[in-house]
Amino acid sequence: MKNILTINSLHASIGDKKILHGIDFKIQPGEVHAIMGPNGSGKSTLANVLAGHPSCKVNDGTVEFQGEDLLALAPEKRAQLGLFLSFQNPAEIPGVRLDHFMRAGINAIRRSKNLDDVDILGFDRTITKKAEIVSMNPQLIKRSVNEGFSGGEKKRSEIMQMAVFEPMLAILDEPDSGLDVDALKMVAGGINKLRTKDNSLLIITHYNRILSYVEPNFVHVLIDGKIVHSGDKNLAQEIENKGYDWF
Amino acid sequence: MNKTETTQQIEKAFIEFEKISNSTDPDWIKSIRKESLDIANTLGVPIARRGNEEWKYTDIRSLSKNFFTEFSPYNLNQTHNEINKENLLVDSLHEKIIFKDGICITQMFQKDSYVSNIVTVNEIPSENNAIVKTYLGKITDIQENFFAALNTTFFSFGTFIYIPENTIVSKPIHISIETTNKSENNTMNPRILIVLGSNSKATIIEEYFGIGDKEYLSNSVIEITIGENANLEHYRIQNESLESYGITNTTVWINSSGHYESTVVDIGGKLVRNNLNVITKQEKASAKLNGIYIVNGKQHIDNQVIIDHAMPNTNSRELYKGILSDHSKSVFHGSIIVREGAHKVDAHQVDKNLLLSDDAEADTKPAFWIYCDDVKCGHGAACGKIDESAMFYLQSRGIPEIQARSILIYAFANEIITEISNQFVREYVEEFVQNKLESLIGIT
Repeated sequence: MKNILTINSLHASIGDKKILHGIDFKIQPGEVHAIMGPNGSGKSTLANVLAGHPSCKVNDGTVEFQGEDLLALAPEKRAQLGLFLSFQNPAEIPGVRLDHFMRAGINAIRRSKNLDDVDILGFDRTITKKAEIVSMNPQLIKRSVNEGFSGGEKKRSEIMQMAVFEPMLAILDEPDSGLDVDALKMVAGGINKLRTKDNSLLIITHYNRILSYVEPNFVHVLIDGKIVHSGDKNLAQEIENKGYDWF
Repeated sequence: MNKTETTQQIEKAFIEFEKISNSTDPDWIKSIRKESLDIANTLGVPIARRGNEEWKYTDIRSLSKNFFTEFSPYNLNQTHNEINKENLLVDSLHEKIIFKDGICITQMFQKDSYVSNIVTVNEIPSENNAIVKTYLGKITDIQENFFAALNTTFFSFGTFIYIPENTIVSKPIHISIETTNKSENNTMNPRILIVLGSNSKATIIEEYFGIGDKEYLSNSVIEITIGENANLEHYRIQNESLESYGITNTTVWINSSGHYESTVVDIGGKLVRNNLNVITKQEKASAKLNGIYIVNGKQHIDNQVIIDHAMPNTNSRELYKGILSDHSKSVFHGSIIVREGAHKVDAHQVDKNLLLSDDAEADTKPAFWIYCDDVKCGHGAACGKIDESAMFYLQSRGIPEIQARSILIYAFANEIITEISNQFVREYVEEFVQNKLESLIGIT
């Protein structure tokens, strides 16, 4: 089967600091991969490099996404190809409504494929349905993006957006951080509902918590910018029991 | 340009001016002009320097000497005929008045006598003569204001709007002051007097529009008095040519329970200076002052806003926002005065600037003069660049960089636009702001 994502010997830095020291793995359609690692191991940097954050500099290596050289593309082009990043701490955008924000994104992606803009009323109905998947308060959709949202509301909003954008590959950067058990179940349930045989997930997490609800096919352990071990879902449980010190 | 040189020019110009105006001006106007001439000459053109707080950041030395050599009062024989009645607007506006190059007057709908053009001062309807005499030149304090004194010496055209008590004019009255290359004058002194009787309500759009590459100075004085429990929505939309100097001097008196709402939109002009003085003359008067300025190139915009809480139980809200690109510069100087005995005053002021280039500069200076206890006063000021994390967030959702930038810039301006309660004005301003932003960011 063809890979959705192929990462070869990826080295990256932020400023003068080298963070990633050679990452290799690949993701096939329908697979769920988890990247686990302690704080400061480079997990979020990996997510940001893949999404094209301007502060991340790639020093070496290649990343192929949907057959294209991902690293050569601007962040918006990556999204237009079907990459989605669920942010750990998404920005607040005063004055831009969440529904307008999503519509601008969807229309930009459609235009890149020479499709017409979405029908506004139809799109509103779509958002309402997608919001239900994560039990998102519908009032929030008409408010400024993330402005005054609680931590949990921001996470739900990110997963709702994933449902709206229907990406080929979604990178979820700590989708569980700061959530209580009920909210975690809701977010994880939403993620599970969105899994298909074609779409893939890359979940970045410190803890096993989310992985006990969203079962991964592969778990990679990232320490000091390198993948030191890969395994199946049982590896996550092992980390839960023994921590990261034994690697 | 030294003081004596300007003084001589102005005095010489006044002799010429009087040759025409003397035949039409009533005596009381003649004496107002003379008094103002003395004040203008005593004050001289203000100079930007340390210690002169009001003009510290705005240097008007580049004002051409020619601006003070000729003030032709009006040319009664000349009118422009090319203006068509925009039928579409009849439904949206109560009245539209167009001044072109300081000489042409078109009053379009003439639905009633609330609005009169001051072509010559003696054209004021006789039944309103007493009202005009009561307020004209009385609301604006020219003692410390050279440009207001200059206007009061030489004003020749303008509008008088009188809304009688218990009268509600629901659609806007639109005053459009246009300047083209054909203008014979390089200095214009428009004059607007607005008197709202008690329990009345009106919306006024004051628009400045200039085309061409001719340098000119537009120096207007706007005097407003708002009666008991009356309500005025006042919009100034300024799109002067990029070769122009625009100075406005607005003074507003608000009486008991009266409300004044002002929105100032500035996008044009080489150098623009807005002096806005609001005085709460009686208790429970309130004011809301909003402003948005969007400038690029070498434009310079200076807003001097003074709210004088002369009486207790009065409140004010100020929100000014600026978007600056290239080498443009803005000044916001907001003074809030709370007079002795003016208890329970509630005043709040905010100025926020979005800088789109490293060379743009925003000077913002709040000043509070509080002579009373038991008041609530607050202010905030901010200057910053586009939030890069928001940019990345938008781009990560597929939105191209330039569109993402424009979404964020527009959202910044939108806070002022959404506050405009009149739908016609809001849509008008929206289009206006959008066009300027598009030229600024280079999107189509």
